[in-house]
Amino acid sequence: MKHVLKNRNLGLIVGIVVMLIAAWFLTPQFYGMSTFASMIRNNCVYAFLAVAEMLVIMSGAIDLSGPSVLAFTACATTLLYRNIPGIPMSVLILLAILMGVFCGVLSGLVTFYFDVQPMIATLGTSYIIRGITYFMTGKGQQMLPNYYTEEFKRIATGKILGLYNIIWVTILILILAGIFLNYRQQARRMLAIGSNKESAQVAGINVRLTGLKGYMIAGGICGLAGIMYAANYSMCLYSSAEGFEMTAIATCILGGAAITGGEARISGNILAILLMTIITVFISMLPGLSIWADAIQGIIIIAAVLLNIFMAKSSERNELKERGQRM
Amino acid sequence: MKKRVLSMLMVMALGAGMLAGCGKSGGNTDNSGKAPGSDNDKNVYAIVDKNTTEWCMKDVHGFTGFCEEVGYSYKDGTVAETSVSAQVQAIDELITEGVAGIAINANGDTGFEQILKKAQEAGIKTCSYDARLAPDQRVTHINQTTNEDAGKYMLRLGVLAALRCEYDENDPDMTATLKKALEEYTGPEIQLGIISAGVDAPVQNAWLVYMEEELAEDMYKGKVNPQMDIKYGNDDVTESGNQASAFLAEDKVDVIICISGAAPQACVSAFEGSDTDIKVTGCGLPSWVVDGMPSADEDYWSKFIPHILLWDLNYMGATAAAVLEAAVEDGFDGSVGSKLTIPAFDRYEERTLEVTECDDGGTEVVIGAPVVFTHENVEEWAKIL
Amino acid sequence: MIAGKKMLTKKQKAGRFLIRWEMLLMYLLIVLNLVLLIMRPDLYLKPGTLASMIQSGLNICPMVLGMSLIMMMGDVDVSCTANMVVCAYATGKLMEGGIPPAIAVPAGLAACIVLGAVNGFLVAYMGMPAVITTIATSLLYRGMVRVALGTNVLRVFPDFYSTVMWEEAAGIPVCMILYLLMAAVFVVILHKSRYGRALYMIGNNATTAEYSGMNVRKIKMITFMIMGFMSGLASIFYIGRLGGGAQSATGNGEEMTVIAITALGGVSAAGGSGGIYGPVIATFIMAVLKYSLSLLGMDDNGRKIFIGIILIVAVIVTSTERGIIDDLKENMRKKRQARYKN
Repeated sequence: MKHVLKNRNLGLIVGIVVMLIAAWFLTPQFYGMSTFASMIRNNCVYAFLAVAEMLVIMSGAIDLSGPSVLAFTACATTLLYRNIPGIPMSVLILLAILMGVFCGVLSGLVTFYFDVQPMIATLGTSYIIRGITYFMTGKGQQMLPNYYTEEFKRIATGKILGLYNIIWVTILILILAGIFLNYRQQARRMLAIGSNKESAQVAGINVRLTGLKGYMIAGGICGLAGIMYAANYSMCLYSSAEGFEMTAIATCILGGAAITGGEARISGNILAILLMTIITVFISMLPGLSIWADAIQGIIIIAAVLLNIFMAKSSERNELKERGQRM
Repeated sequence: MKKRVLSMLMVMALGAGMLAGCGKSGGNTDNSGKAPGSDNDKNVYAIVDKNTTEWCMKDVHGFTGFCEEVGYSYKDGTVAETSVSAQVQAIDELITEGVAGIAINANGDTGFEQILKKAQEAGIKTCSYDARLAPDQRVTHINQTTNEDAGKYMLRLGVLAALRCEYDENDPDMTATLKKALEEYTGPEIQLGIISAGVDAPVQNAWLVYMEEELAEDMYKGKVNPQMDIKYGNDDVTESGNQASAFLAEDKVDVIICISGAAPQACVSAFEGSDTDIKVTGCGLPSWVVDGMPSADEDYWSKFIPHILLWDLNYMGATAAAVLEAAVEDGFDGSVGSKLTIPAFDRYEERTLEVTECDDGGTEVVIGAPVVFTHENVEEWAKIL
Repeated sequence: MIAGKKMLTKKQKAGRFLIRWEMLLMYLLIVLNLVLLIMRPDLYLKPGTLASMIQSGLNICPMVLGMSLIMMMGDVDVSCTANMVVCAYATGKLMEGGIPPAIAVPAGLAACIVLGAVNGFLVAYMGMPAVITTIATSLLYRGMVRVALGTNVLRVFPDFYSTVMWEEAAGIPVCMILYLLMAAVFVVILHKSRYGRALYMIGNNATTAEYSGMNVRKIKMITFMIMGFMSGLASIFYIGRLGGGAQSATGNGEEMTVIAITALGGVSAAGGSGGIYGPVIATFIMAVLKYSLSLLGMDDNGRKIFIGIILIVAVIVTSTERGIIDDLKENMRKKRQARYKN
């Protein structure tokens, strides 16, 4: 029993269970199979952004430019696809990821090499990237559904084994992220610079390069998210995904990533994504509740961070206690 | 040393960029135009729309296209942010530039008092279109159609769709068709769903008021549920998609009336692959509808969207220009009963519109009733709108 | 080499002064004005243009002053505009109900101080990082106004709101006079009081400050409360500019402009450096820049990108600013040593 209580994800699991029970009573239509499918399909975008955000936050920085990278790659791949007929999907996906990485390099350079505060740096880069997207799409024209053929859309909406492709890709990314976090040295380095920049520097880690790499990977994921977004909705615009970065950050915090860096759990992140998705759909199903959406999101974030801090402090206390007992 | 050189370079690049930017956009003909062979003394008419999305730019293109053809000088001051303060800033700049008239599609119904007072003191004429300004702040208001018509038409289209009736061109406001169809209808109570824009969107909320008024009419009693299920999509595709999925899952409504621009596509996208009975209608740009049907298939029309309506945004922009010109040159004052002649241009003929009373105490010019698009005429209209 | 403080000649002092960040900003401001003057003399010299430019950019000025203090501590407050909306709501609702401005306005300001205190409590006493806290409170505050106000608009505000933003006194815009007065007060607070010195220390190294006996928590709390108050004052300016109308979405997005101006003004977001002069000049720079770009024909979207680029460049240069002066010092020292060797 103690083991269960100690599980850091307990709060999230409880939250999910509570929401599901509430949905059972208040909005039973929640449980339609098609609901699940579309609900998950629509919210995969948030999952990508949350994973990308997690990588940056654990390095001690923050990234407000994820959605702008998404919009950029979505529009860019659409335009490429239109103008170069016959371009294979695999090439497009690769290009999307590369474009995302490139944008990530920009943010990473400004944050880690020019020592600009990450919030301001990524704010600036997001303006710039959105601006480029605006001009690239001919002064803000929308990418229309008939630009996309079945081939393109199948990247996201095709089905393998009954699940949409986009859901498979999301699962793939989550698994890869989990492996990366737990087994790769690069990830450990990122956690190190997140928890204490100076110590990491002294320990011989190239803080700048590691931070840059974090942004690059995050950018790549956002780039992939972009082409998925375009394929899923069959439309995109320079202002797509505006405001999603806040939800992504909130999801990461909920999932246990410390905002100052140095901590991240993929299991927490996955549960947080689930919880946020359920909350979003739940709110949209209850009539008259949409007006509370923002306020609720604010409360959730505050509660999550407080819980985060509380648990960190209490686990410290517990560890000290245990050490004391052992002596 | 490196940092210092770098920072110096940056400052110089900044300066150069500024000058380059100024030079480039000084020659930018996209947002301002001079009639051929004119000089600086010519009156310049400006337009400030809600934002720079494609939907709103239709009005602006109407305005600028008309000006170019008829020979007025124009300037487009549309703002990127959908906010009142951005528009106030834009108007301030236009006043400084000394334009003769400004047409405004207001982002909010308050906040313009001071800036328009300043404009009036400078002798600039202002008019509003689509979303109106206060009565004493405008010469007149141009309404593509009254909010009443818009709301009631959309509601009727919704009921028509639920009843699986065809839109009859000979009965444009649908009352006769509906009356007959409702009398014959014996099925369960029809439930209407709505996807609106933001919770505080003034235009949509005005439409909703008229929809409720329409639903109170006798012919709907007992056949259509007067309580509509309203969900808010915030004019965003993903949000609207979520709301559409919610409707799909609940499966309680018979038809979804989309009163937000982003909604129709979101619905079709969400419905794809399911074999639901829910119909989709409401307002939408015909060009989007044509392009937006993922494979231009007849199927989507019969499956999901039987018909959809809109009003002529292009013509609205043109009328705004005409109003400004009339106010500045001919002393048009927008009083009730005065007439406005819009010369022929593009594929429109000359029209004379009469100024009527508006329900906020001011005056307005109504262009006409909404246009309903069915799969018969949508292709034609898609070329313009 | 003589140990201890180097005595600088008058010339050296003057030289140092001239390349301080604040002076660089002044040069930029002058350059901007010159550019506009050269390219559109007809507009620049037209009476009222300068006043219009200034008035258009000062609608957020009180928040810049507050934000300077906050950023000097190393924190940031993204909820300032949400705070402002709450104040507008409080004042507007009370006035709608017939309560005279003498009570309604202070009530609104008091509400803002309370909200600022909430921020301060969460950041200082609960240990939450400022960024995420203020993002959350921003959603919360604005969300509350949205629920309370719905789709309605508040229209009744005191007349002096509009007077502040639109009138001039002896040819100078009233808002500018008020801004400079407020800035003077802040200069006194920052440079002449213990509180101000404490702020610098906390910004430089909060742990050290704590260990040297400062009540860091209390000081952070006070700063956030001051920020709340300034946000409330900002509602006067902002609503005044709009001629007395407010809704729940009013001011959305302006907080980034405030942060940008403060960063441009030389207040490093990492804390510990900067003053009040910089942000004040930066406010005018931003006002003139935005306005001029439009007068010179750039469309709104282009303008947004441009300002984004400027923001980054400015902050980059700020963070290397110490580098400029230190590099110069290094060079001078090396030259002097080389001369001594010969």
